[in-house]
Amino acid sequence: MVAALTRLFGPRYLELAEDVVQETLLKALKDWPFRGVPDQPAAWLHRVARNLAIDHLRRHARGLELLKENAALLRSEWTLSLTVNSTLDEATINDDQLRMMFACCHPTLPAEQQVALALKTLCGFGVPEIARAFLTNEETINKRLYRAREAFRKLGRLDLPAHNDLPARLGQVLSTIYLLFNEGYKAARHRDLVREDLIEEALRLCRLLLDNPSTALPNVHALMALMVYHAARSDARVDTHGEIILLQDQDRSLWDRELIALANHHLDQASLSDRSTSYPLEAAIAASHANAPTYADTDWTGIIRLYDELFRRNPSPIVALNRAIAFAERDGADRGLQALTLITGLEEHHLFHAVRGELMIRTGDHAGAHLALEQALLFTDSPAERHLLEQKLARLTKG
Amino acid sequence: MSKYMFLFRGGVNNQEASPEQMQASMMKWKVWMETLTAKGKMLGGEPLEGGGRVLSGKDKKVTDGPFAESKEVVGGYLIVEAGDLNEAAELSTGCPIFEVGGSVEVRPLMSMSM
Repeated sequence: MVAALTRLFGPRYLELAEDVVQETLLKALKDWPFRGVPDQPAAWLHRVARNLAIDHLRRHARGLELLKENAALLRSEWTLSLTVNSTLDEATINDDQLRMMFACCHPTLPAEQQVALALKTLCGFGVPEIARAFLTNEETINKRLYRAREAFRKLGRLDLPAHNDLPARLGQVLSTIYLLFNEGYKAARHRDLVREDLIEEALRLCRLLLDNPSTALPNVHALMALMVYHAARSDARVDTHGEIILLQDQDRSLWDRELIALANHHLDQASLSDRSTSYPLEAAIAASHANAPTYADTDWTGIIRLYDELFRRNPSPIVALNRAIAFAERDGADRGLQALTLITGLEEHHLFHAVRGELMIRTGDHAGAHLALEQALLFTDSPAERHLLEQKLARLTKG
Repeated sequence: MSKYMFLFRGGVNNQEASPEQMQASMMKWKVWMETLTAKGKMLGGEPLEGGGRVLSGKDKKVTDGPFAESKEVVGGYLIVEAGDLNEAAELSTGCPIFEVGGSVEVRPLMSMSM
């Protein structure tokens, strides 16, 4: 709704659009407890927002610097209400969300502002929720939103990027969506509703891109596949106490087969030869795991090949670490440890030491494993990660 | 570029039209005005209600009205921008009022230079 209203008033009046939505919700809060929830709540909200927008324009249109394309129409009673209606029409809302998505992910805005703005305007999150989702305080979020709105004002009008710019701009939108998803996924064990909303919203925004022919591109399918593979396994990732369960120990009957099938369907429409993003390869790796009947049956050779390709395009130590794990699974822990020695840049990363410790346990080097796990503990604050490491250490000392 | 006023007279009687007819007619007006706006020609204007008051004479006598034949009542106005009177008249030809027997009077706005 904010997106549609911003299209009506122009990006300069983002706050006015937010105020209208706010006032609409307040009216609902005042009205519904007494008269009951209307039969069609969405239509009710839509109508109230529309009337508020018309009232505001009727009184203030001359004082607003409206968009050239609709200024004259909104300033005349001949066309005011019909123009507001058609702009806010349900049919245009999805399209507007799309425009808004591209505007929120404008290259002039830093990533953290993009995400905050997307959550506020596209997903309807409040400032306290956004602060909670990013484990920061409301003041920080307010500052980010303020700066983002300032930058937003300068955009002029909301347009889908021209055909030539689309791949680059779409890349920005996809990385914001993936960031949203990861923020939600990383901490899904908290069973925090806000966090689960983040996952839902990331999936919804990605679906919106897929619903529009101009943005339903292979990379968007790849990201969708990647996120849906992760989502399919989310119930098996934590036990009843909220502790992390590693991939090899997960109960695969808890994986959501329907979601895996859906992810497979999206992966089919992605292109593995597309080099502009790493989503197709990451999705293909997730697919190997999700479609393997057991951990032992995993196609490690295929996964190593995908990691090789991924590393060629994006030589990050994290990719190398995952590749080393795949080596350990296929050729034994010694081979994995050997691959680890070639990695630099993860000396202060807990995962690197945790993997090293785990592989040393398997080779029987308990003293080395002890040291490695202790080092891993130095570099993580996450309670669940720490708990996992401490359990391993305790077993080592006992054994 | 000069300014011109379109004065709309006559046309459909709102009281007799069904809501659907009203809606359809307003959509046509909107489409026409959107075209004018897209061309950068539309400056503004408002529709007028049917009745009102008429004051006249030295004693400013008040009567309800205008009660003239509905054909002659002004139903609204628009101000447009055009290169000359011919272009302005041409712009008015898309007005949906012609479909229902109304008329458009195109008048140049006067520039008062003292």
